[in-house]
Amino acid sequence: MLPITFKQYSVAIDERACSRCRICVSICECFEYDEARDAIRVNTISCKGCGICIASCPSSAIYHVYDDGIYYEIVEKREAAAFDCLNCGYECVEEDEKLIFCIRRFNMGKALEAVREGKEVVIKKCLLSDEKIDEKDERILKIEEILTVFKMEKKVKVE
Amino acid sequence: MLEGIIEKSKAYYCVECRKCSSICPITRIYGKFSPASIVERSLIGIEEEVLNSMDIWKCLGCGLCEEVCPSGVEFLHFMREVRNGARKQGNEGIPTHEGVFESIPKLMLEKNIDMDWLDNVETDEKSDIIYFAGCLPFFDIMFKEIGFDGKCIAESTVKLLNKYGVKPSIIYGCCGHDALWNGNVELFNELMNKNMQMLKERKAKKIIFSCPECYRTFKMDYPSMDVELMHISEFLADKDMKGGEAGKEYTFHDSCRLGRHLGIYEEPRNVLKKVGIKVKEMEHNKELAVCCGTSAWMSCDWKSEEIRKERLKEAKKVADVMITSCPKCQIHFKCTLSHENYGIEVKDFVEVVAEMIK
Repeated sequence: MLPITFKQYSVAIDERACSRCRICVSICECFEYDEARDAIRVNTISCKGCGICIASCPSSAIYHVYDDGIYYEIVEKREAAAFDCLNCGYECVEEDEKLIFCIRRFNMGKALEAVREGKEVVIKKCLLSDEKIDEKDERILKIEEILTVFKMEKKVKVE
Repeated sequence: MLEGIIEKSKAYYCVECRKCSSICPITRIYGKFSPASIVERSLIGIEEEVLNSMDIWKCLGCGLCEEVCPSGVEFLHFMREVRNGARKQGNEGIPTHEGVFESIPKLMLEKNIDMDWLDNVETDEKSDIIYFAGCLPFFDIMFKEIGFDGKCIAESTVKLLNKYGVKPSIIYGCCGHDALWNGNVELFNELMNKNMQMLKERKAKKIIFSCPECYRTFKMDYPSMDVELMHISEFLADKDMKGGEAGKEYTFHDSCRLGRHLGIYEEPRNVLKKVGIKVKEMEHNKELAVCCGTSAWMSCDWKSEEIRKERLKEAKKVADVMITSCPKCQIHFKCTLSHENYGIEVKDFVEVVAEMIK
Protein backbone atom coordinates (compact mmCIF):
# COMPACT_ATOMS: atom_id res chain seq x y z
CA MET A 1 0.00 0.00 0.00
CA LEU A 2 1.39 3.33 -1.01
CA PRO A 3 1.56 6.14 1.47
CA ILE A 4 -1.42 8.36 0.95
CA THR A 5 -1.09 12.06 1.41
CA PHE A 6 -4.11 13.92 2.65
CA LYS A 7 -4.79 17.49 3.19
CA GLN A 8 -7.24 18.96 5.64
CA TYR A 9 -9.34 21.83 4.42
CA SER A 10 -10.74 23.69 7.37
CA VAL A 11 -12.97 26.69 6.91
CA ALA A 12 -12.54 30.32 7.88
CA ILE A 13 -14.97 33.22 8.20
CA ASP A 14 -14.82 36.55 6.47
CA GLU A 15 -15.88 38.75 9.36
CA ARG A 16 -16.79 41.69 7.15
CA ALA A 17 -19.32 39.61 5.26
CA CYS A 18 -20.63 37.70 8.28
CA SER A 19 -24.07 38.85 9.49
CA ARG A 20 -23.76 36.97 12.82
CA CYS A 21 -26.96 35.06 12.07
CA ARG A 22 -25.45 31.96 13.72
CA ILE A 23 -26.93 29.51 11.24
CA CYS A 24 -23.50 27.89 11.11
CA VAL A 25 -23.52 27.63 14.92
CA SER A 26 -26.84 25.83 14.78
CA ILE A 27 -25.73 23.26 12.20
CA CYS A 28 -22.19 22.47 13.29
CA GLU A 29 -20.39 21.91 16.53
CA CYS A 30 -17.23 23.51 15.20
CA PHE A 31 -18.68 27.01 15.32
CA GLU A 32 -19.10 29.10 18.37
CA TYR A 33 -20.44 32.59 18.90
CA ASP A 34 -18.01 34.82 20.76
CA GLU A 35 -20.08 37.48 22.44
CA ALA A 36 -17.16 39.59 23.61
CA ARG A 37 -15.88 40.02 20.08
CA ASP A 38 -19.31 39.76 18.49
CA ALA A 39 -17.91 37.26 16.03
CA ILE A 40 -18.17 33.59 15.09
CA ARG A 41 -15.21 31.37 15.92
CA VAL A 42 -14.25 28.23 14.03
CA ASN A 43 -12.55 25.33 15.69
CA THR A 44 -10.09 24.50 12.94
CA ILE A 45 -8.92 21.33 14.64
CA SER A 46 -12.33 19.67 14.72
CA CYS A 47 -13.46 21.08 11.36
CA LYS A 48 -13.30 18.38 8.71
CA GLY A 49 -13.98 20.79 5.90
CA CYS A 50 -17.17 19.07 4.80
CA GLY A 51 -18.50 22.35 3.44
CA ILE A 52 -22.10 22.10 4.62
CA CYS A 53 -21.70 25.41 6.41
CA ILE A 54 -20.39 27.03 3.24
CA ALA A 55 -23.48 25.95 1.40
CA SER A 56 -25.83 27.19 4.09
CA CYS A 57 -24.23 30.55 4.93
CA PRO A 58 -26.66 33.22 3.65
CA SER A 59 -23.92 35.83 3.49
CA SER A 60 -21.36 33.61 1.73
CA ALA A 61 -18.94 34.52 4.49
CA ILE A 62 -17.45 31.06 4.99
CA TYR A 63 -14.73 29.75 2.75
CA HIS A 64 -12.30 26.85 2.63
CA VAL A 65 -8.73 27.42 3.66
CA TYR A 66 -6.64 25.45 1.21
CA ASP A 67 -3.27 26.41 2.42
CA ASP A 68 -2.88 25.94 6.14
CA GLY A 69 0.16 23.80 5.56
CA ILE A 70 -1.24 20.68 7.15
CA TYR A 71 -0.64 17.47 5.26
CA TYR A 72 -1.49 14.01 6.38
CA GLU A 73 0.49 10.98 5.41
CA ILE A 74 -0.81 7.57 6.26
CA VAL A 75 1.52 4.68 6.06
CA GLU A 76 -0.35 2.25 8.29
CA LYS A 77 -2.12 -0.65 6.63
CA ARG A 78 -5.51 0.84 6.77
CA GLU A 79 -7.97 1.84 4.12
CA ALA A 80 -8.72 5.50 4.43
CA ALA A 81 -12.16 6.68 3.49
CA ALA A 82 -13.11 10.05 2.13
CA PHE A 83 -14.25 12.45 4.84
CA ASP A 84 -12.61 10.23 7.43
CA CYS A 85 -11.94 11.94 10.68
CA LEU A 86 -9.62 14.85 10.03
CA ASN A 87 -9.04 13.11 6.68
CA CYS A 88 -6.12 11.34 8.28
CA GLY A 89 -7.91 8.11 9.06
CA TYR A 90 -6.36 8.03 12.45
CA GLU A 91 -9.01 9.11 14.93
CA CYS A 92 -8.59 5.86 16.74
CA VAL A 93 -7.61 2.43 15.61
CA GLU A 94 -9.11 -0.51 17.42
CA GLU A 95 -7.07 -3.63 17.83
CA ASP A 96 -7.78 -6.73 19.88
CA GLU A 97 -6.10 -5.53 23.02
CA LYS A 98 -5.43 -1.91 22.23
CA LEU A 99 -7.20 1.28 21.30
CA ILE A 100 -4.83 3.66 19.60
CA PHE A 101 -5.56 7.35 19.61
CA CYS A 102 -3.96 10.23 17.86
CA ILE A 103 -3.35 12.82 20.57
CA ARG A 104 -5.35 15.40 18.65
CA ARG A 105 -8.36 13.12 18.51
CA PHE A 106 -8.04 11.71 22.02
CA ASN A 107 -11.49 11.12 23.44
CA MET A 108 -11.78 10.66 27.18
CA GLY A 109 -15.14 8.87 27.04
CA LYS A 110 -13.95 6.36 24.46
CA ALA A 111 -10.72 5.80 26.37
CA LEU A 112 -12.58 4.98 29.59
CA GLU A 113 -14.93 2.70 27.72
CA ALA A 114 -11.98 0.84 26.20
CA VAL A 115 -10.32 0.36 29.58
CA ARG A 116 -13.59 -0.97 30.93
CA GLU A 117 -13.61 -3.54 28.17
CA GLY A 118 -10.13 -4.61 29.27
CA LYS A 119 -8.17 -2.89 26.53
CA GLU A 120 -5.07 -0.80 26.79
CA VAL A 121 -5.23 2.78 25.60
CA VAL A 122 -2.29 3.97 23.55
CA ILE A 123 -1.85 7.60 22.63
CA LYS A 124 0.40 8.43 19.71
CA LYS A 125 1.60 11.70 18.44
CA CYS A 126 0.13 13.29 15.37
CA LEU A 127 1.35 11.58 12.20
CA LEU A 128 1.65 14.74 10.24
CA SER A 129 3.28 17.23 12.52
CA ASP A 130 6.39 17.18 14.63
CA GLU A 131 4.63 18.35 17.75
CA LYS A 132 5.46 16.21 20.74
CA ILE A 133 2.95 14.90 23.21
CA ASP A 134 2.90 16.92 26.36
CA GLU A 135 3.32 14.30 29.10
CA LYS A 136 1.31 16.52 31.37
CA ASP A 137 -1.57 16.85 28.94
CA GLU A 138 -4.57 17.77 31.08
CA ARG A 139 -6.89 15.20 29.60
CA ILE A 140 -4.47 12.30 29.92
CA LEU A 141 -3.87 13.22 33.55
CA LYS A 142 -7.60 13.39 34.18
CA ILE A 143 -8.22 9.95 32.72
CA GLU A 144 -5.36 8.50 34.75
CA GLU A 145 -6.74 10.09 37.89
CA ILE A 146 -10.23 8.74 37.23
CA LEU A 147 -8.83 5.26 36.66
CA THR A 148 -6.84 5.50 39.89
CA VAL A 149 -10.12 5.92 41.77
CA PHE A 150 -11.17 2.56 40.33
CA LYS A 151 -7.73 1.13 41.16
CA MET A 152 -6.98 0.56 37.47
CA GLU A 153 -3.62 2.24 37.10
CA LYS A 154 -1.28 2.13 34.15
CA LYS A 155 -3.84 1.45 31.48
CA VAL A 156 -3.01 4.53 29.44
CA LYS A 157 0.27 4.58 27.57
CA VAL A 158 1.84 7.45 25.68
CA GLU A 159 4.02 6.47 22.74
CA MET B 1 -44.15 3.57 19.93
CA LEU B 2 -45.15 7.01 21.15
CA GLU B 3 -48.74 6.02 21.92
CA GLY B 4 -47.86 4.39 25.20
CA ILE B 5 -45.69 7.34 26.14
CA ILE B 6 -48.50 9.80 25.38
CA GLU B 7 -50.82 7.74 27.53
CA LYS B 8 -48.45 7.54 30.49
CA SER B 9 -47.42 11.19 30.53
CA LYS B 10 -50.96 12.53 29.93
CA ALA B 11 -49.72 14.33 26.84
CA TYR B 12 -53.15 13.94 25.22
CA TYR B 13 -54.45 16.54 27.67
CA CYS B 14 -52.42 19.17 25.81
CA VAL B 15 -54.69 22.06 24.76
CA GLU B 16 -52.00 23.66 22.59
CA CYS B 17 -51.97 26.87 24.63
CA ARG B 18 -48.17 27.03 24.21
CA LYS B 19 -47.57 28.35 27.69
CA CYS B 20 -44.76 25.81 28.02
CA SER B 21 -42.96 27.24 25.00
CA SER B 22 -43.40 30.77 26.23
CA ILE B 23 -41.68 30.03 29.53
CA CYS B 24 -39.07 27.51 28.29
CA PRO B 25 -35.56 28.97 28.81
CA ILE B 26 -34.27 27.26 25.66
CA THR B 27 -37.10 28.57 23.45
CA ARG B 28 -36.43 32.09 24.68
CA ILE B 29 -32.93 31.90 23.22
CA TYR B 30 -33.41 29.43 20.38
CA GLY B 31 -36.88 29.80 18.87
CA LYS B 32 -36.72 26.61 16.83
CA PHE B 33 -36.96 24.51 19.96
CA SER B 34 -40.45 24.35 21.37
CA PRO B 35 -41.78 21.86 23.91
CA ALA B 36 -45.32 22.48 22.65
CA SER B 37 -44.43 21.54 19.11
CA ILE B 38 -42.71 18.35 20.24
CA VAL B 39 -45.88 17.31 22.05
CA GLU B 40 -48.10 18.39 19.15
CA ARG B 41 -46.02 16.53 16.59
CA SER B 42 -46.22 13.40 18.70
CA LEU B 43 -49.99 13.78 19.07
CA ILE B 44 -50.49 14.16 15.31
CA GLY B 45 -48.42 11.02 14.90
CA ILE B 46 -45.25 12.30 13.18
CA GLU B 47 -43.33 9.78 15.20
CA GLU B 48 -40.18 9.46 13.14
CA GLU B 49 -39.63 13.18 13.02
CA VAL B 50 -39.75 13.45 16.80
CA LEU B 51 -37.58 10.42 17.46
CA ASN B 52 -34.94 11.43 14.94
CA SER B 53 -34.74 15.10 15.83
CA MET B 54 -31.89 16.57 17.84
CA ASP B 55 -34.40 18.88 19.54
CA ILE B 56 -35.32 16.23 22.08
CA TRP B 57 -31.79 16.40 23.52
CA LYS B 58 -31.98 20.14 24.10
CA CYS B 59 -34.58 19.93 26.87
CA LEU B 60 -33.10 20.77 30.27
CA GLY B 61 -35.69 18.91 32.30
CA CYS B 62 -35.91 22.02 34.44
CA GLY B 63 -39.66 21.67 34.89
CA LEU B 64 -40.69 25.28 34.25
CA CYS B 65 -43.14 24.03 31.60
CA GLU B 66 -44.84 21.70 34.04
CA GLU B 67 -45.12 24.60 36.45
CA VAL B 68 -47.30 26.59 34.02
CA CYS B 69 -49.11 23.82 32.10
CA PRO B 70 -52.86 24.23 32.69
CA SER B 71 -53.59 20.63 31.66
CA GLY B 72 -51.07 18.86 33.85
CA VAL B 73 -49.06 17.30 31.03
CA GLU B 74 -46.04 15.58 32.54
CA PHE B 75 -43.58 16.89 29.99
CA LEU B 76 -40.46 15.72 31.81
CA HIS B 77 -41.74 12.18 32.03
CA PHE B 78 -42.72 12.42 28.36
CA MET B 79 -39.26 13.65 27.40
CA ARG B 80 -37.49 10.89 29.28
CA GLU B 81 -39.57 8.23 27.55
CA VAL B 82 -39.12 9.83 24.13
CA ARG B 83 -35.36 9.90 24.66
CA ASN B 84 -35.47 6.24 25.56
CA GLY B 85 -37.30 5.57 22.30
CA ALA B 86 -34.86 7.68 20.32
CA ARG B 87 -31.89 5.89 21.86
CA LYS B 88 -33.27 2.57 20.63
CA GLN B 89 -33.29 4.03 17.12
CA GLY B 90 -29.70 5.16 17.40
CA ASN B 91 -30.36 8.84 18.12
CA GLU B 92 -28.18 9.28 21.18
CA GLY B 93 -27.58 13.02 21.35
CA ILE B 94 -24.25 14.67 21.88
CA PRO B 95 -22.95 14.12 25.40
CA THR B 96 -20.73 16.80 26.89
CA HIS B 97 -17.16 16.29 28.17
CA GLU B 98 -16.47 13.63 25.54
CA GLY B 99 -18.93 11.24 27.12
CA VAL B 100 -16.81 10.75 30.24
CA PHE B 101 -19.87 10.89 32.45
CA GLU B 102 -21.51 8.09 30.49
CA SER B 103 -18.45 5.89 30.88
CA ILE B 104 -17.83 6.51 34.59
CA PRO B 105 -21.17 5.02 35.76
CA LYS B 106 -20.48 1.94 33.64
CA LEU B 107 -17.13 1.55 35.38
CA MET B 108 -18.87 2.00 38.72
CA LEU B 109 -21.07 -0.99 37.96
CA GLU B 110 -18.04 -3.21 37.71
CA LYS B 111 -15.76 -1.74 40.34
CA ASN B 112 -16.51 -0.61 43.84
CA ILE B 113 -15.13 2.73 44.86
CA ASP B 114 -13.31 2.27 48.09
CA MET B 115 -11.50 5.47 48.87
CA ASP B 116 -10.48 7.48 51.86
CA TRP B 117 -11.00 10.88 50.40
CA LEU B 118 -11.92 13.29 53.15
CA ASP B 119 -9.62 14.89 55.69
CA ASN B 120 -10.33 16.24 59.16
CA VAL B 121 -13.77 14.68 59.46
CA GLU B 122 -15.14 11.82 61.51
CA THR B 123 -16.76 8.94 59.69
CA ASP B 124 -17.86 5.54 60.82
CA GLU B 125 -18.03 2.72 58.30
CA LYS B 126 -20.51 0.75 60.37
CA SER B 127 -22.95 3.61 60.83
CA ASP B 128 -26.49 3.11 59.56
CA ILE B 129 -26.66 6.80 58.70
CA ILE B 130 -25.23 7.23 55.26
CA TYR B 131 -23.95 10.24 53.42
CA PHE B 132 -24.41 9.63 49.69
CA ALA B 133 -21.67 11.77 48.17
CA GLY B 134 -22.47 10.81 44.58
CA CYS B 135 -20.00 11.63 41.85
CA LEU B 136 -18.18 14.41 43.70
CA PRO B 137 -14.70 12.78 43.46
CA PHE B 138 -15.02 12.66 39.69
CA PHE B 139 -16.34 16.20 39.37
CA ASP B 140 -13.34 17.22 41.42
CA ILE B 141 -10.95 15.57 38.95
CA MET B 142 -12.69 16.89 35.86
CA PHE B 143 -13.33 20.48 36.90
CA LYS B 144 -10.33 21.42 38.98
CA GLU B 145 -9.16 23.98 36.45
CA ILE B 146 -12.31 26.07 36.66
CA GLY B 147 -12.06 26.25 40.43
CA PHE B 148 -14.62 23.64 41.39
CA ASP B 149 -13.88 22.02 44.73
CA GLY B 150 -15.96 18.89 45.21
CA LYS B 151 -13.92 17.77 48.17
CA CYS B 152 -14.87 20.95 49.99
CA ILE B 153 -18.58 20.20 49.47
CA ALA B 154 -18.23 16.66 50.82
CA GLU B 155 -16.06 17.77 53.73
CA SER B 156 -18.37 20.62 54.67
CA THR B 157 -21.35 18.27 54.64
CA VAL B 158 -19.66 15.73 56.90
CA LYS B 159 -18.37 18.50 59.17
CA LEU B 160 -21.91 19.80 59.63
CA LEU B 161 -23.13 16.28 60.35
CA ASN B 162 -20.29 15.80 62.87
CA LYS B 163 -21.26 19.02 64.58
CA TYR B 164 -24.66 17.55 65.38
CA GLY B 165 -23.26 14.25 66.58
CA VAL B 166 -23.63 12.20 63.40
CA LYS B 167 -20.74 10.10 62.16
CA PRO B 168 -21.94 8.93 58.77
CA SER B 169 -20.63 6.20 56.55
CA ILE B 170 -19.95 7.49 53.06
CA ILE B 171 -20.97 6.04 49.71
CA TYR B 172 -19.45 7.30 46.49
CA GLY B 173 -21.31 6.28 43.39
CA CYS B 174 -23.70 7.17 40.67
CA CYS B 175 -27.39 7.30 41.47
CA GLY B 176 -28.27 6.88 37.78
CA HIS B 177 -29.87 10.29 37.37
CA ASP B 178 -28.08 11.15 34.13
CA ALA B 179 -28.67 7.75 32.59
CA LEU B 180 -32.38 7.99 33.37
CA TRP B 181 -32.77 11.50 31.98
CA ASN B 182 -30.86 10.59 28.85
CA GLY B 183 -33.18 7.69 28.22
CA ASN B 184 -30.68 4.99 29.13
CA VAL B 185 -33.10 3.02 31.29
CA GLU B 186 -31.05 -0.19 31.20
CA LEU B 187 -28.01 1.49 32.76
CA PHE B 188 -30.23 3.26 35.27
CA ASN B 189 -31.80 -0.01 36.39
CA GLU B 190 -28.42 -1.64 36.84
CA LEU B 191 -27.13 1.29 38.89
CA MET B 192 -30.31 1.34 40.94
CA ASN B 193 -30.08 -2.36 41.73
CA LYS B 194 -26.46 -1.98 42.73
CA ASN B 195 -27.21 0.95 45.03
CA MET B 196 -30.19 -0.78 46.62
CA GLN B 197 -28.08 -3.86 47.24
CA MET B 198 -25.33 -1.77 48.81
CA LEU B 199 -27.79 0.03 51.10
CA LYS B 200 -29.26 -3.29 52.16
CA GLU B 201 -25.81 -4.62 53.03
CA ARG B 202 -25.07 -1.57 55.15
CA LYS B 203 -28.50 -1.78 56.81
CA ALA B 204 -29.11 1.88 56.08
CA LYS B 205 -31.73 3.68 58.12
CA LYS B 206 -31.13 7.21 56.97
CA ILE B 207 -29.47 8.63 53.86
CA ILE B 208 -28.31 12.22 53.68
CA PHE B 209 -27.62 13.94 50.37
CA SER B 210 -25.79 17.09 49.42
CA CYS B 211 -26.65 16.69 45.72
CA PRO B 212 -30.27 17.40 44.78
CA GLU B 213 -30.09 15.11 41.76
CA CYS B 214 -29.19 12.06 43.85
CA TYR B 215 -31.92 13.00 46.31
CA ARG B 216 -34.53 13.38 43.59
CA THR B 217 -33.56 10.08 42.00
CA PHE B 218 -33.67 8.14 45.28
CA LYS B 219 -36.91 9.73 46.33
CA MET B 220 -38.89 9.79 43.11
CA ASP B 221 -37.40 7.23 40.75
CA TYR B 222 -36.31 4.38 43.03
CA PRO B 223 -38.94 2.03 44.43
CA SER B 224 -39.84 3.06 47.96
CA MET B 225 -37.46 1.75 50.60
CA ASP B 226 -37.79 1.63 54.31
CA VAL B 227 -35.14 4.31 54.64
CA GLU B 228 -35.40 7.94 55.61
CA LEU B 229 -34.08 10.22 52.87
CA MET B 230 -33.14 13.82 53.48
CA HIS B 231 -31.23 16.67 51.94
CA ILE B 232 -28.61 18.28 54.14
CA SER B 233 -30.74 21.44 54.31
CA GLU B 234 -33.63 19.39 55.71
CA PHE B 235 -31.27 17.81 58.25
CA LEU B 236 -30.11 21.26 59.38
CA ALA B 237 -33.55 22.87 59.29
CA ASP B 238 -34.57 21.95 62.85
CA LYS B 239 -31.14 22.34 64.46
CA ASP B 240 -30.11 25.23 66.66
CA MET B 241 -27.25 27.16 65.20
CA LYS B 242 -25.48 30.44 65.50
CA GLY B 243 -23.72 32.33 62.81
CA GLY B 244 -21.48 35.28 62.32
CA GLU B 245 -21.74 38.49 60.43
CA ALA B 246 -22.01 38.17 56.68
CA GLY B 247 -19.76 40.73 55.08
CA LYS B 248 -21.21 40.26 51.61
CA GLU B 249 -24.57 40.18 49.89
CA TYR B 250 -25.82 36.68 49.15
CA THR B 251 -28.42 35.31 46.78
CA PHE B 252 -29.73 31.75 46.45
CA HIS B 253 -30.03 29.95 43.13
CA ASP B 254 -32.76 27.32 43.32
CA SER B 255 -31.62 24.27 41.42
CA CYS B 256 -34.34 22.61 39.34
CA ARG B 257 -34.14 19.31 41.15
CA LEU B 258 -34.24 20.66 44.69
CA GLY B 259 -36.76 23.37 43.88
CA ARG B 260 -39.39 22.52 41.33
CA HIS B 261 -38.93 18.76 41.41
CA LEU B 262 -38.83 18.28 45.18
CA GLY B 263 -40.44 21.49 46.39
CA ILE B 264 -37.68 22.40 48.83
CA TYR B 265 -37.45 26.19 48.83
CA GLU B 266 -37.66 27.35 52.43
CA GLU B 267 -35.34 24.92 54.22
CA PRO B 268 -32.06 26.17 52.73
CA ARG B 269 -33.16 29.78 53.10
CA ASN B 270 -34.07 29.25 56.76
CA VAL B 271 -30.74 27.57 57.48
CA LEU B 272 -28.89 30.45 55.82
CA LYS B 273 -30.93 32.91 57.88
CA LYS B 274 -29.94 31.08 61.08
CA VAL B 275 -26.24 31.37 60.30
CA GLY B 276 -26.60 35.09 59.67
CA ILE B 277 -27.09 35.33 55.93
CA LYS B 278 -30.01 37.30 54.61
CA VAL B 279 -30.77 35.95 51.18
CA LYS B 280 -31.59 38.57 48.59
CA GLU B 281 -33.93 37.15 45.99
CA MET B 282 -33.20 37.36 42.29
CA GLU B 283 -35.86 38.42 39.81
CA HIS B 284 -36.62 34.79 38.99
CA ASN B 285 -36.68 32.78 42.18
CA LYS B 286 -38.24 29.72 43.78
CA GLU B 287 -40.86 28.18 41.42
CA LEU B 288 -39.77 30.40 38.55
CA ALA B 289 -36.00 30.13 39.02
CA VAL B 290 -34.06 29.74 35.78
CA CYS B 291 -31.98 26.62 35.17
CA CYS B 292 -28.17 26.70 34.94
CA GLY B 293 -28.37 25.74 31.28
CA THR B 294 -27.38 22.09 30.96
CA SER B 295 -28.58 18.93 32.58
CA ALA B 296 -27.49 15.31 32.64
CA TRP B 297 -24.28 16.15 30.73
CA MET B 298 -26.11 16.49 27.46
CA SER B 299 -25.97 19.16 24.75
CA CYS B 300 -23.96 22.04 26.11
CA ASP B 301 -23.60 24.81 23.54
CA TRP B 302 -24.10 28.53 23.09
CA LYS B 303 -27.71 28.27 24.22
CA SER B 304 -26.63 26.93 27.59
CA GLU B 305 -23.97 29.59 27.78
CA GLU B 306 -26.49 32.34 27.05
CA ILE B 307 -28.85 31.09 29.78
CA ARG B 308 -25.97 31.09 32.27
CA LYS B 309 -24.91 34.59 31.37
CA GLU B 310 -28.44 35.89 31.88
CA ARG B 311 -28.65 34.14 35.22
CA LEU B 312 -25.29 35.51 36.39
CA LYS B 313 -26.27 39.03 35.37
CA GLU B 314 -29.50 38.62 37.30
CA ALA B 315 -27.57 37.48 40.37
CA LYS B 316 -25.05 40.30 40.12
CA LYS B 317 -27.87 42.85 40.29
CA VAL B 318 -28.67 41.82 43.86
CA ALA B 319 -25.60 40.15 45.35
CA ASP B 320 -21.85 39.42 45.37
CA VAL B 321 -22.12 35.71 46.09
CA MET B 322 -24.48 33.24 44.47
CA ILE B 323 -25.25 30.19 46.58
CA THR B 324 -26.14 27.03 44.71
CA SER B 325 -27.33 23.78 46.18
CA CYS B 326 -26.38 21.55 43.26
CA PRO B 327 -22.74 20.78 42.39
CA LYS B 328 -23.59 20.75 38.70
CA CYS B 329 -25.05 24.27 38.85
CA GLN B 330 -21.82 25.37 40.45
CA ILE B 331 -19.72 23.68 37.78
CA HIS B 332 -21.74 25.27 34.99
CA PHE B 333 -21.64 28.77 36.41
CA LYS B 334 -17.95 28.51 37.22
CA CYS B 335 -17.31 27.39 33.66
CA THR B 336 -18.88 30.59 32.35
CA LEU B 337 -17.07 32.66 34.97
CA SER B 338 -13.76 31.10 33.94
CA HIS B 339 -13.85 32.91 30.63
CA GLU B 340 -15.98 35.90 31.43
CA ASN B 341 -15.90 38.06 34.51
CA TYR B 342 -19.22 38.99 36.08
CA GLY B 343 -17.80 40.07 39.42
CA ILE B 344 -19.72 37.39 41.25
CA GLU B 345 -18.65 34.39 43.28
CA VAL B 346 -20.39 31.01 43.19
CA LYS B 347 -20.41 28.87 46.31
CA ASP B 348 -22.20 25.77 47.46
CA PHE B 349 -24.83 25.90 50.16
CA VAL B 350 -23.00 23.56 52.56
CA GLU B 351 -19.73 25.37 51.97
CA VAL B 352 -21.28 28.69 53.03
CA VAL B 353 -23.06 27.22 56.04
CA ALA B 354 -19.89 25.44 57.22
CA GLU B 355 -17.95 28.67 56.90
CA MET B 356 -20.46 30.80 58.78
CA ILE B 357 -21.57 28.43 61.53
CA LYS B 358 -20.11 28.89 64.99
